[in-house]
Amino acid sequence: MRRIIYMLVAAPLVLAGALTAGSANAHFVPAPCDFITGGGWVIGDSGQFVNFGAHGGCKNGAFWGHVNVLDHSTNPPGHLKSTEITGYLMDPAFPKARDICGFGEVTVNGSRSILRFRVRMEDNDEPGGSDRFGLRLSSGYHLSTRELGPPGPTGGGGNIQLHKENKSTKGPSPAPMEGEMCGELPPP
Amino acid sequence: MHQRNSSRRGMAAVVAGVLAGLLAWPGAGSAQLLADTTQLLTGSTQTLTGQASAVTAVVLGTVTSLANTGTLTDPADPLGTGQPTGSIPGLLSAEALHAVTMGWTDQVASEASLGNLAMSVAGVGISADAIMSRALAVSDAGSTGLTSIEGLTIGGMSIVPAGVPNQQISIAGLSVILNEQIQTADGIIVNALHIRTFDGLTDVVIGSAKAGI
Repeated sequence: MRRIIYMLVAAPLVLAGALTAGSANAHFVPAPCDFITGGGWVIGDSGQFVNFGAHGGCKNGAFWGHVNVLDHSTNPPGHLKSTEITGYLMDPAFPKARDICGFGEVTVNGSRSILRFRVRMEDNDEPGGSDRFGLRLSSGYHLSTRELGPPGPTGGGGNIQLHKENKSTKGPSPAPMEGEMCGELPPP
Repeated sequence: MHQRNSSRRGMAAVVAGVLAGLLAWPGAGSAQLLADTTQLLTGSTQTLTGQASAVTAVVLGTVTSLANTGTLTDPADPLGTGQPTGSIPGLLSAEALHAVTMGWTDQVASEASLGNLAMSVAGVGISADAIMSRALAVSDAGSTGLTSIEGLTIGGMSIVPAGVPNQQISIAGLSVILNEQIQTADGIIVNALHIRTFDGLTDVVIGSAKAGI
């Protein structure tokens, strides 16, 4: 009898633990939804400036935001201008970071196309030097998430702010899965 | 007497009808009544003000604004805008322009930023790697402003902001204010870089954020 009671109590706990562990690496829409905003620049892998200005969150049952990025590795700089925001996610492993996913118009060397993008913005307090920014495009472009860094030859600059949740605004219900929001793009 | 009794019965019927109507009112309606009553009792309705723009320039009376959010009115309606590049011919160009203003029931936050600024005012060249302004107004806690100006040069001279509000720099023919912070009745306006010609014909604000509650 005691064994049966133990089984009845332990089984749901084990199941709950397994579900929790299984979702530990998942990215999901924060609830209630919050906002992340920021602008600045990072140094790209070729030493070039990559300027960005972006914000994201939820609004009126949908995702909301704008993302603009200019990469000076080409002349004129290649740029991404968001045209649709399809996701706003958090990663439990990086609680101060948010990912913004969507589609955007990408122009490189005069060639224009619509691509899926995923940016990561991370607020690591003030000043903004330890804040981080990264970008992936469905074309294969990858700017790994990196610190804005102190202004100067080895660092970029700017600032990212994670704002508190806003119960007056909501995202889609039910919240979509990561794949629906970001396609196959992993975090940058 | 008969009429009076009839009147009383009529009144009772009306009261009963009203009560029945109130009881039949859906939960949301009751909640709305409660909220309205609470607001009447506490006066807790907040008025939000918020706006941000990456650039606002007045040249010879013509106003041009780049990446301007418009006016915030509702915590359920955050406003934001951005553009990869922006320019005002003969005056300036910039990249990654961004502006956003957001409200909560107890605060308003606004932010504007841009990168790679190149500007010429009255023949004086002004450039910066990145410029950002932020304004935050919190109910019953006052307002604060913050600016970030990196890689600033004016007339070929490198300028490092002192980090204090309203830092004024005199350049031939120009009035330049870094980290301009203007207290308003309900909050604050923060202008990262404010440049005016002494003749008043050109007035340019780079990175403006306003928040009030």
